[in-house]
Amino acid sequence: MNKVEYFIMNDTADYYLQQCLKNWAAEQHPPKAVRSKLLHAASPFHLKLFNSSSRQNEMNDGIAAPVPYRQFLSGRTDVRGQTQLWAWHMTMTSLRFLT
Amino acid sequence: MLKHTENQLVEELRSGSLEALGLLYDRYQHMVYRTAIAITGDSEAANDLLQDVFLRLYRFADHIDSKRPLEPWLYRMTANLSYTWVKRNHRWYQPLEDLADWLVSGESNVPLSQVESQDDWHLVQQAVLDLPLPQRIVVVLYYLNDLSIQEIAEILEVPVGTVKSRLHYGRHALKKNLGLQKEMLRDFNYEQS
Repeated sequence: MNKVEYFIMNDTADYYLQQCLKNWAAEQHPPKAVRSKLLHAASPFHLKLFNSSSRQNEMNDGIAAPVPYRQFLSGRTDVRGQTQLWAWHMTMTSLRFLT
Repeated sequence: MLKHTENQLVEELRSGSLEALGLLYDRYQHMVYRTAIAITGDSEAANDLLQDVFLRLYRFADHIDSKRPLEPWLYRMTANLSYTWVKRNHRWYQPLEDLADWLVSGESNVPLSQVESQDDWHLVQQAVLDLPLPQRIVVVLYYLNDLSIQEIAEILEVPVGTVKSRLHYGRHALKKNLGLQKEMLRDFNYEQS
């Protein structure tokens, strides 16, 4: 991957920053346990559980939750925040209906 | 197994091959982990994000175009998940940490003599973590991952001008915070990798 021509690092400070960051990053290694955890989590049994819970979150008595399944793809969704919002909304709606 | 192309591995991933997942993990783990830890500054979070990125790769392999390179997808996922993590976890206590740092240090700029005497790498990394999040992500992708501005724009799905702007302000802030000036760096011998 080459840098584009219109933006070239021509400054010593730029090289200094880059080398420092690269040297620092070269010291960082992921733990070996992550690999086995990943493969364990991706095993069919766990994935099936993972998928089924996602589907339950997606639909609730025919009403789509505010975090559709597909939005997980982007990685941008603040799932916890939206889920709390959804829980709050459903609670208040129920209370309003009762009163 | 080393002869497997990326394309073949993604195809195998679609059929649920855990072996293909393992091979892709071995190939890209450092790239994902280092990007995540550079953005979040937290090794525990980087571990979780590393696992999350590859778990999503496995789950959503059907949605990935195997004819296109996988790297941009991994970068996008890593950057987006890191963004979400930082936003969620640093919303409240980061300003307090900044205040504590300011009170302890007494000044925001680090003179170069101090940079030279201490561990430069970690000071630069800390300076990167002090950048606003959008600038930090662009700086990490540009300096650490050697991506071009065009590639960063495609990964983050923002205009090229936005990337240029974030990079400009990010590098300006870094140089200012680290006290880096051309005159002061005359004796610095860098190695071009």
